[in-house]
Amino acid sequence: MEVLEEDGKVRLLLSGDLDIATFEKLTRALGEVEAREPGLIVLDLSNLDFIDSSGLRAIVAADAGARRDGHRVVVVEGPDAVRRVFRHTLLDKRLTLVEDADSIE
Amino acid sequence: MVGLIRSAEWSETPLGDISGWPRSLKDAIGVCLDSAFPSFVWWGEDLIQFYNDASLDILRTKHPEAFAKPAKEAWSEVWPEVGHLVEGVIETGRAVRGDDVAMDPERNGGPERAYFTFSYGPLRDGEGRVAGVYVTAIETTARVRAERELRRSEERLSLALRSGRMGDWSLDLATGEATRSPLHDRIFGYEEMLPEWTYEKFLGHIHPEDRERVSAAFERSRETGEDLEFECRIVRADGAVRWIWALGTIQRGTDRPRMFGLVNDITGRKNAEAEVRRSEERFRLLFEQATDAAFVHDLEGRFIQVNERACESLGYTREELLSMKVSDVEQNLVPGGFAELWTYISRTGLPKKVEGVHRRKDGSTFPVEVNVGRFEGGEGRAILALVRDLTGRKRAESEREAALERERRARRQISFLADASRRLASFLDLEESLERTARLVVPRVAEWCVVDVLEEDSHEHRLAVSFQREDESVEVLRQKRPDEEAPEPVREVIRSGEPRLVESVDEEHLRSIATSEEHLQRLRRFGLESYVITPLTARGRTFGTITFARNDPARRYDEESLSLLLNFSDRAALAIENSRLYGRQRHTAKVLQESLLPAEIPAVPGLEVAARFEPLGEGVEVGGDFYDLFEASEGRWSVVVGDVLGKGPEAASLTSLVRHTLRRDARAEESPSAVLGSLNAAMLEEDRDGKFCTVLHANVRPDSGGFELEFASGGHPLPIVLRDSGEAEEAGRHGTLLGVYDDPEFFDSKVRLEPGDTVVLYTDGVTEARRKGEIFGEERVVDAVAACAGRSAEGIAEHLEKKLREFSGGELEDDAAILVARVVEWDGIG
Repeated sequence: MEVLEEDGKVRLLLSGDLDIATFEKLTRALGEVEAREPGLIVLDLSNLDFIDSSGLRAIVAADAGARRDGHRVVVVEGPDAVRRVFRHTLLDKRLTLVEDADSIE
Repeated sequence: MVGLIRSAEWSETPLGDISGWPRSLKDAIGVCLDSAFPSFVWWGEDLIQFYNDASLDILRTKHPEAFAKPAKEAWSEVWPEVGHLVEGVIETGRAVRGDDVAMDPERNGGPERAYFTFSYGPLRDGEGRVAGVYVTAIETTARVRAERELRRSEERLSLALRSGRMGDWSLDLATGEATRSPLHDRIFGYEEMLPEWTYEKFLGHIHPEDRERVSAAFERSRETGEDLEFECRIVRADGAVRWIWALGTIQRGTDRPRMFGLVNDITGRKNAEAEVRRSEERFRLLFEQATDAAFVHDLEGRFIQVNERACESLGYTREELLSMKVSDVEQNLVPGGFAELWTYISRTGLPKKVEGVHRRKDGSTFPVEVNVGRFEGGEGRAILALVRDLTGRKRAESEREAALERERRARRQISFLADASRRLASFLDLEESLERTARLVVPRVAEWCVVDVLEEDSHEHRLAVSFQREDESVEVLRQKRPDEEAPEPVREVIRSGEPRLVESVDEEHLRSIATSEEHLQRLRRFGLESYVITPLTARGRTFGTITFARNDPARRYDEESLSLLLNFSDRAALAIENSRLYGRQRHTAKVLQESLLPAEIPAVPGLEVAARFEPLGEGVEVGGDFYDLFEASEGRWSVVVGDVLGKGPEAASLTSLVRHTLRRDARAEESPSAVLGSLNAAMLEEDRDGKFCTVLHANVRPDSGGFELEFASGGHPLPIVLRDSGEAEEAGRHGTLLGVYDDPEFFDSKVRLEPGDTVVLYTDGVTEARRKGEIFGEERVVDAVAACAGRSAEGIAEHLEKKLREFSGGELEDDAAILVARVVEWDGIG
């Protein structure tokens, strides 16, 4: 996982699997990022291979945190295996999803 | 000589008694004896020889035997040369001469080469016939020598002149004036010939340090008349210092004696000589000061030269060494070794490095490295050997080797332990962990291994025995034995918790540890040499042992190996202990999980139901997947499949909440979406720290020979409907996952199921089953289901499970639940 920070925007570039094994790591990283109170957190899943319900939980938590604290969380959709999960859970309607990081304003 | 003539027994010779000799013979002898020149008289047919005193030094040892002997016998060695001359004289009566015959007369106490010219003249008898030969010798040595010398010097001169490098000169000894060739002046640095040259001019060019010596040589030559030859330095006209060689010969006999001579610039040769001297000097210095012992020896190995270091290294004096041969000090010299070496170094011109062992005078030896090379010392073929004492290096090498071996051993041990940890880390049951432990040991640290665990309740030992078969494969056996049949050392280690190391086993010891005659035979067959028994201790309790046994006398156990084996057995103990706990835990998990599932799937008339539940492969934790099937109200059955985030008791607790909430609400609420809505609300109320779940809730009602399926999804994979025709597709709409949002969306969908139609519900453990970065996915689920047209519910569940396992290579990483419901022909109330 890479954390890229610029102008109040923090981008978390995730890769590999986001599952119960990496959940803690992402949660911790998100906690640290949120503490810096950025205006925008980008969860970039484009390099992600797999996401399971634990991964979803982390993303949902990030989204919930954004609503609570008043910043934005944008999720860059990953490959089909990742999109599928958002579709099944209707999280695609809840989260701010974009196709690629460049399209974020 | 006269006495000799008188005393000889002439009567026995062809000449007869003296009284009968002809006058002419007597006259000839008289002349001969009077002559100051060596003279001989050869008389008669046999040429009987007479000679005078002057002849004695020519005759030398031939005298006196040669007297009165036939000339042919007395001079047998020169007769082939002179015989025909003599015969000619007798035949023709004319005198002939043999010029410059080489003889070795006695002079200055020994023979000396001299030259004589012999004249052979006829001696006639009274009738005028030639009756003998008169021989006179005139010494021509001086002339012959002078001529030869002259010839040689002429040759030398002509060679020198021809070669164009020599100047020639001629010095008038009276005036000191000289004539010379142009090259002469050029040697002294004058490109153009000088108008005149004098002895003084010459001396002026001689290097001041050599001038006196050269001048003295000239004076001596002038006084004695001897030839002059010297080398000296000159200072050329251009100031350059050069070396010359000069040769002079005085010629007298004329009224103005002159010295003729040659001069040559030999600077090049001198430099070369100096270079040779310097290089010899350098070599000598190097040779002497070399830190290596240096030897020069001939091809037979005889030492020609040795340095101080060589003497010191071997404890001999230089004199001693110089009378010795290489074979006296080199232990490993093989016959023919030198010849081979010589061939190599002379062919390649390269030195060669060989190793050997040198023996000192005191008999002690030391390893050496010898650099042998061809020695160009001008003393014929010789070998220079520079010898370095390797004692230090050998020691360092063997220390390094030992260090490397320690390192390799440590690395092997680390790799063994790391491998053991890795292999023992995965969850295994007790039997498996015993087996795996035993397998890890052989053949890496033992030829034979017994892992022994004492069961507390049964007082039985469970064993895993591993050993190497003849074909080197490792066999592992499982055994059991009552505690009292365990060998005493094993029981002792379990009691004490202390390891036992037996470095060496003898027959008596074998007998003491054998539990039976058969056991003793086995131990003998194995050839037990050494063994270690380590305790298996975990959480402060020793519950078993590992016995490591070796039958290789070269690889007995020692204190060092003991520490490795203890380390290993600590790890094994933990793994084995875990597997025991795991066995219990798995049992608990199973019980708990089952409590979350319907104890028994109720029979629904007209509906064939099959369920598969795969909790986390062989998991010990309670998974989050669940399913349920219950009669919600009269003629309405609820079918539920769900997935709660996470594993373990917490997930189980949530599962429990979800299941009970659904059961409760399904009775009151008819629409699945409403049931999901109230579940969502209940979950939000509980505030479970962001934990959510997905549920597919369905109602089935019998409907005119078939069933009506109404369902809604809360973030859950949609059901697959398989028609009797073989068509299969996903049905319905996705809905929001449960427990996160307070405004979820759920959508009720209805599907009519005819007899032969099937609905398959499942959790994402199925679609997310993985292999190498690929997931099983909906498409494969649909395809697997589509392939099952006509099969029973059980058959479909079985097929899907099989496909899933094939895909993921056997074990599933996550829980997976499958519920299959198929409509069968029935005559129920519609």
